[in-house]
Amino acid sequence: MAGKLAQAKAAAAKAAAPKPLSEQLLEMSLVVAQLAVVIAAATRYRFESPAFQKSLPWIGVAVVAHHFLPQRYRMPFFTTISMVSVVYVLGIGPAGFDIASALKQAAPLIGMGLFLIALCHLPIAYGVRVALLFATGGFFMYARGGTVFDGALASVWPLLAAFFMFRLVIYAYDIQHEKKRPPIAQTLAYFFMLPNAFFPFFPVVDWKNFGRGYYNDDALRIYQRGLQWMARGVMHLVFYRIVYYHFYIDTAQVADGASLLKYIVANYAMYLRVSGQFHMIVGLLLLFGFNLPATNNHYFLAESFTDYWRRVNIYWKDFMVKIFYTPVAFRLRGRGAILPVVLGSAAAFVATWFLHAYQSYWLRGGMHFSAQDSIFWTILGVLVMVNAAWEVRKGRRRSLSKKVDWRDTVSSTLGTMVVFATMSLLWSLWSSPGVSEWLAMWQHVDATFFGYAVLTLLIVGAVKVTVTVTAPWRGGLIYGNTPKGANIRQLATVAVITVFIPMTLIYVLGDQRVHRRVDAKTKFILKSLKSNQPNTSNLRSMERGYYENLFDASSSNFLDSGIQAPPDWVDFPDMPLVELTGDGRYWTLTASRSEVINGYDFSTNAFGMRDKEYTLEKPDDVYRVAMLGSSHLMGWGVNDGETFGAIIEERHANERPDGKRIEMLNFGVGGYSPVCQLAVLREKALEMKPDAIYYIAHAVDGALAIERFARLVQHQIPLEDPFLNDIVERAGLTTSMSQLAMQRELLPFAEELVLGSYKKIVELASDAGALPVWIYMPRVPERDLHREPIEKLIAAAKEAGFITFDLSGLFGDTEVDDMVMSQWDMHPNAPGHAMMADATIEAMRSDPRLGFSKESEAR
Amino acid sequence: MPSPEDVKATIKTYILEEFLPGEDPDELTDSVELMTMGILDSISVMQLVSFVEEKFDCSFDAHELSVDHMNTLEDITKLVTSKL
Repeated sequence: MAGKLAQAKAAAAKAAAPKPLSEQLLEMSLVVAQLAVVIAAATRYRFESPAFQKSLPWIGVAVVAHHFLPQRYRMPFFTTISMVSVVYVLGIGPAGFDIASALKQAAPLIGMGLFLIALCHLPIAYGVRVALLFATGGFFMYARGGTVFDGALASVWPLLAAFFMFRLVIYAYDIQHEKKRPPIAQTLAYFFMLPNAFFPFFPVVDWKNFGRGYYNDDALRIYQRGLQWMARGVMHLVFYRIVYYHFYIDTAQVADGASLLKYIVANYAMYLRVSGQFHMIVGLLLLFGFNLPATNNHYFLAESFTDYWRRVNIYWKDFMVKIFYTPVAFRLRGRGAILPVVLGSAAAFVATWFLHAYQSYWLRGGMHFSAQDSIFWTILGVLVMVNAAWEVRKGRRRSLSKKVDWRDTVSSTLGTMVVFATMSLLWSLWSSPGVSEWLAMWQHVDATFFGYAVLTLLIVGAVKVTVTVTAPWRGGLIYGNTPKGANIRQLATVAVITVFIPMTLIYVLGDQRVHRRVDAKTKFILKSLKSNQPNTSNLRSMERGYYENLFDASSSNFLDSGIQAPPDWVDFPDMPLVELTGDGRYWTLTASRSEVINGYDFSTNAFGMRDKEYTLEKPDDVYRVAMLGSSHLMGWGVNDGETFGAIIEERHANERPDGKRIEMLNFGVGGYSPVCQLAVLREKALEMKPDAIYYIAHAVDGALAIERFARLVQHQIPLEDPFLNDIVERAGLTTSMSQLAMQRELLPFAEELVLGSYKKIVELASDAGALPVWIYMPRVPERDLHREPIEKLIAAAKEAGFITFDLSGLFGDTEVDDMVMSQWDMHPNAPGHAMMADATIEAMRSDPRLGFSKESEAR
Repeated sequence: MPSPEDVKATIKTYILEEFLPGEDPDELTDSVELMTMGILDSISVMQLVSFVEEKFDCSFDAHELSVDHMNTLEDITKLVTSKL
């Protein structure tokens, strides 16, 4: 015992002794090397916003500079770069950084922030200060609605909210009990903290933890934890993309037991994005010396509901405990052991439910109280309360040592499986578009569902056992707790295992040279990990969002942090040139109008086409092509004359060997599906006597067909074609059903709907003597990621009798950002349309049947 | 008035019996971070406070139920003795 004590004292003395400069430099070099590899991996995979990606290397430089500053300058330095990051984020726009715009927005943001902080320090009674804060917050909330400043501060509110909406409450509460006023640099650092400008969904940090943790340990140990947390963040975000691109489906895609389970588990796993972000944010703060507690730590492996509540977002939990749970439970102490805990927990969960809607209001501009929110928080709250009461009565397993006890391991593993199953179910409900939609999915429960469910839980259990059993061996590694006084060799071992190996592997897997050497399926998966674009489900949702703002299954979760369009952005259905038709097209463009939409000239001709004027009668010397398609063909996101159809006509008008001038008639309208194309052909295109029909298809045509068709049925629009009425009857659609319910019933008929429409288009075209041509036109973000729906569409087009072309890969290896109109709208820009035009004319020349090659002249 | 050592011993015994049954008392040193390590959480700290208030006839403030004041045996002893 005495020997052990002596050893411990010697180790403590060694740890406390200042390290030689050479050793410090060596250790810092190790930190810099790890930081470099983490940044390399994060930027290669383009995680999160472009502003964050561009800033990461500079943040890395700032970390090193910060470390070598004298201690007293570190906090002011961090505060300064935090402020700079705010200005940078506010000034970055589609055209790059604009300092004037940045300062114009940063000034009111910082001004309002300083005003709120000043209110907290007014030398008046605490109650009056709180009342003033409420009044000011209330006014800001009212102004957030856009009525006071006429939307001029639209970009400012989400950041102001991220910095102040919760932290101000914590700050006002904590400083009330502090004996001395905190340094101004620390206060500013707390509110404007660096990563927050890039990640607005990180609103809560405890003021006490923030101040208490600042360099409260050996700097290298804090940095090492930060690096390991960042590395884990990168891994979470990679896993998130695997889930997002390969497992996530929306409710309309649930067709059997297996897909139901996939929906449930994948929705829960989508939280990896939030935990990945939180790891990155906290990791970055640790690199600046803020030794904050671990968050989102093994939350999938929580072994009870209270354990889940403690693990999943400890910062939020601490906030709730401090402001709601403790005051309520403390006031009730002495009234038995259980009542204070239960009522305190109830207060925390009611507050959590309300504050999520409050947060949603600040960040999105609208208060969202849904039935799913209420049910989710009520059930989780009740589970935690019951669990807490159980812990008060029976106690819970705690230990000072890391010894593995098999009985505890078994019980905790069973607990993990129950919590995982329950949370997955709750999460799927929370993320669903509606309670009735969620309930309707359960009609698909079958033996396969239970089989896969048991398998999933066994896998979760196996992971839990592995993590528990290896905990003593892993020791501090996984938590970043390198031993105090560790030498450079020990530090290097930790760094290699926890940062260098995983980050290097992830970095290498993102290299195109690796992609070229693997089979197509592996390449497909590896490329998807580097994508930061919406998946097939969300692409469809996104288009619906732009066109109708409907069926956005993912938007019910406030944690989804997609890039938002500016407040003055006009979505397609809201633009002044759209009118309803009452037929299978549902809507069309108003004829002979000219507007500026989102900064682009948008004009229609006398026939309601986004095109120049044509005569109804086809001139003798003209070869007329009627192009059918949706928003890409219509040219959403480019000026008049920049659509790929217009480019083909302008550049290749005289290319036909028979000497006829080419006319490319643009019948494209945003949101059109195969059934709409059939209607537009019948209603408009055939009237203009085309020589050929070019059908421009996208990968989502099948899914879109269901959705648009359901809308037609719901609006009781007469269906001209018997095969459509037949599908309505066989799918059992009734007008009392919601559109979403109809879509689910139509799911088995998707291919039939597409094929039927294609066949009818070919029939009508052939009857009119027009050549039916079908062209698969990829959308910029999807590239070649989703081959299966494309192959199905190509097969359907061939079976219908089209001459088919597959233009997959036309965008090559060009950067997505260079080809799309904006980060919030993935429609192709003018260079994108030029590439589409080149690929289309190439295809037209390649097949003699189209009459654009010398060969065709000979024929 | 109980001495700080008596206060500490009473609190240590309570923690060992209520929250760490079967643990080696020597492992629970003065500097073990009870709240940071999760031995004391928002539920158990409320139980501990109720016990201490009754045992030593003292009164806590709600904001004192935090890591700042109750993370270690040493912290808790200091807080309690300051109220006696």
